[in-house]
Amino acid sequence: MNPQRDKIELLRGTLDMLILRTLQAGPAHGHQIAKHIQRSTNDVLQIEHGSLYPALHRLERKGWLASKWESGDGRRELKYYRLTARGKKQLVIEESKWQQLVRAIAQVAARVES
Amino acid sequence: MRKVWRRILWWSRRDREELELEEELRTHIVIETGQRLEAGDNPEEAGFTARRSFGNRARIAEEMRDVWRLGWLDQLRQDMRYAFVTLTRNPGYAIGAIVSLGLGIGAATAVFSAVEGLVLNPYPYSGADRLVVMSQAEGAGPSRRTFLTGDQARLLRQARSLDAVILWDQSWMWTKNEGIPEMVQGGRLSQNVFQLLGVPPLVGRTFTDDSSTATSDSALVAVLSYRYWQTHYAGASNVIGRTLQVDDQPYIIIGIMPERFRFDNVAFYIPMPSDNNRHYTLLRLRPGVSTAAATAELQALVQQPQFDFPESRGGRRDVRVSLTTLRDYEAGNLHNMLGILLGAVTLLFVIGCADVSILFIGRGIQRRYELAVRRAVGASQTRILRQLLTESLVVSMAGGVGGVAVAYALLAVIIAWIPPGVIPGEMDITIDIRVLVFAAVVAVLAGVAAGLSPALALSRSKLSGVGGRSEVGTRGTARTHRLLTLVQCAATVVLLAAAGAALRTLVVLTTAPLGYNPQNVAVFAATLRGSVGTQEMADYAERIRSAAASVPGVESVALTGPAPTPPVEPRRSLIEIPGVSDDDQEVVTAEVSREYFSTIRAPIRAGRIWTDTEDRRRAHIGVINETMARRYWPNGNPIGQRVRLAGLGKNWDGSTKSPPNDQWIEIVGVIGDVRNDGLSRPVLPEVWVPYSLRALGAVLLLVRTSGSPAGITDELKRKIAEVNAEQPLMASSSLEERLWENGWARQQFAASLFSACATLALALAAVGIYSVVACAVSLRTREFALRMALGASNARILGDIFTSSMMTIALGMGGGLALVAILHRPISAWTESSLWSPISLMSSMIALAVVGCCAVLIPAWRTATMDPMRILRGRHF
Repeated sequence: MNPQRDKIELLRGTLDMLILRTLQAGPAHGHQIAKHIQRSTNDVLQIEHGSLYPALHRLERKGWLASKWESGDGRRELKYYRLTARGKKQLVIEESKWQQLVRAIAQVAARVES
Repeated sequence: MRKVWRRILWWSRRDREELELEEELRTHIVIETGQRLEAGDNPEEAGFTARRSFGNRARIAEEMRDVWRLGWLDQLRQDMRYAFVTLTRNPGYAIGAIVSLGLGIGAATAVFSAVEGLVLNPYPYSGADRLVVMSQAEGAGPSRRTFLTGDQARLLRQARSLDAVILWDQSWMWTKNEGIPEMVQGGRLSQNVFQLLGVPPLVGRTFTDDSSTATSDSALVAVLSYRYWQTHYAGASNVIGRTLQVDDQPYIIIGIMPERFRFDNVAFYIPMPSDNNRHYTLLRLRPGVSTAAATAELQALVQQPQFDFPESRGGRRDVRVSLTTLRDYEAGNLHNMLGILLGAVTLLFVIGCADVSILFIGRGIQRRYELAVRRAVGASQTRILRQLLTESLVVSMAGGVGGVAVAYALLAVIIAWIPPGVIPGEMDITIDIRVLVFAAVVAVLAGVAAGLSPALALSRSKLSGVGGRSEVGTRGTARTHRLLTLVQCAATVVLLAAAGAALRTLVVLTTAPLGYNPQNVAVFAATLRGSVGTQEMADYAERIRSAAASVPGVESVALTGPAPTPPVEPRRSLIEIPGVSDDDQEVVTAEVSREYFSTIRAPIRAGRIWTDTEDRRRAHIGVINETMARRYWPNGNPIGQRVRLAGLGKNWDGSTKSPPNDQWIEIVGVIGDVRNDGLSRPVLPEVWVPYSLRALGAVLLLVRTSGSPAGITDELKRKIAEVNAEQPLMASSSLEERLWENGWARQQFAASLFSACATLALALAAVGIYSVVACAVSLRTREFALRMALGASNARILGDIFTSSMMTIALGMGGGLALVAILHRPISAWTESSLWSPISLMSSMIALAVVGCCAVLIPAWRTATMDPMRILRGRHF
């Protein structure tokens, strides 16, 4: 009933992985990343757009992303993020961590059910 | 590493980064709004939804900033900025805290360092802490320094508890440097002295066993002191090998001593010919030997027949040997004084720290509302603590820096202030860094702890209570406040009492009757050339004296033997008074010209002084002082009596004259008592004989001038040069200066120091009291306003504040009195007047009460005259 309650709370680590995954396709700016995540999950994952930005900056600080200000459509400047080499390596690690987590949860669920 | 670098980079460009951050967020919302508009929302709704879906922009911006911050560094910057802002808005308490800290730290460090310099490292000699001075006393008589002959020294060297026996002499020597005659104090050292003292020369070499050989003729080498080298050779580098004429003999300069070597404070050192005269002695104990053991061994050794002390009657068994360390011998009383000063300055330090704490706590109480609000808005306890810490650190550090500056300045002042001759020249006094650091750390900690107290108090209280009339977390702090004030008052009372005692002693000392008038009398030293004890010498001396007397502006000139001027104790001699004593009485003796008594204005009580003719004839007559007349002829008349002065039969170093001479003199007059044993001890019996009787070479000219003695020196030297162009004259000083140096200087020094401490303490205590009262009063402002609105008079309010504050002060005074009662005995050892004197205690309490009253009055007055309505209506903080 309440869309707020249905929203799945994302762990911080998974948000990082989503961002890295999104940028694997190519550089994008903050708004595009937000929209992409929302679209790809068919609006199931509704995150507050704003919470994306601290995560972006955190990843940039860790060195997994690099940012650059480019003029978007002529009038305004947009800050584009792209994956660095280290970021690509980190994405692999994050994805394998995610797989482990999913398998572990599935095992627990399977046991419970059986 | 790169991460840190990026953060630093961000931090340094943060203004631009800040703009970009905002731009990024703003852009997102604009794009979102645009998309919503395209989707069909109206502009208002589009914007609203965009912003809502974004989230809390301020929080997000803060989170983004947090990502890049260097965390503590940024917070520190913020805290420091805030601290400076609050400080400049309320400089009062900060200035008070800085001054208190600076004075407390500085004074404590300076005095500690001075004491350390004197106690720990006074001399540069090897085994300096084992050097002792030997004195002997006979029967119940006073203890006197021992002089030894070469043979006696050789005997003592065999003692097992000693590893060195040093002999030396000091005398005025007639030198000729580049043809200019000058009289200089030189030292004669026995051969091994330089080796034993263990200080290597700065340039060249010192006496070695092969340079000063057994025959005294070839031992014509000299070692210069640093000071003499600087003043007479301008520190030239080619001094070694040059010749110095000393007493008409050429000495070759072989070395120069370093600056810190000031053995006996003479200009240069020449070898001492071995003879059987008596010399100054210094002993050094073997390592590990106690003074008691050495004393016992020496006591046994002096029973041997070689030891005959010149003034004893041969009752060697009666002789008591005592050993004093060199440090105690030379700086004796200063030790005690510095010890007490240490105590005084520690008290001052305590008062200063208490002041700082009071100021910080008071400030904290005043800010409790602000802090409570900050807590309510969301600042964490640690955040508030951190900010308070920064603030108190800033002030405490400033105070610490001030303290360092004060310490150095104060030590320089103390050293310059110490009267000459009070401490040995070798002592090297510098700031001890350990003490400085310790004092600074303690004081800063005190400030910081006090500064943090409001936050700690806040954590124990309910926030809702603030703003109302309840005292938030202040009950505990108010108690602490009162306790600190109590401590301050007690300490101040003690310091005031000490200052009072020192001042009283000074007054007693300076107003004690001297028996003569020292004003306007200049003193010159001269060594007359000629044969000692001859008629020629006596005539020559008289010619010099008359020449001096002929100088315009001079009222009278007296000639005396080389004995120091009163009240310093001159030589003593045994006397035989027929019918009364038998060569076992001791009196003070001096050889003077007949003008002596009129020059120093000592009155004649009976009889007369010898005449000119008798003087020239070298008649055996003399005068005595009242004390002697009273002691030996209480009922009779001393005039006409004859006494035998054993001293007349001895040479200046105590050896007996041979062939023996006539030692009897006839008393012709009685002079009024002149202080001759220090300024506060009773007058000793004294005999004056004409100078011509002994006609010594070293003399003092006492010149009484009608005006100030300063202007006559050149004219005097000219007149003397007319008599003998080669007669140098040393301008010493004036009688008053000598009095001051020998008697008053020390006491004045002590009195000034204690007074300075006491005044400082009073000022600091006043600041503390004021702060406490202002704080307590500000807490109860609403209460007072209410009472005044309801009809209480100003006077009642005033009285109320007064009584509560004065209670604390009174308690503090009581505590101070108790402290004085406990401490007065040990302290009185130095100050010579008891601390426990009703007058000085009373005046101390009155001083503190007056100061306390004023300090209480100011905030009380302000409160009592405020407009109650204004307080009750508005919020008064």
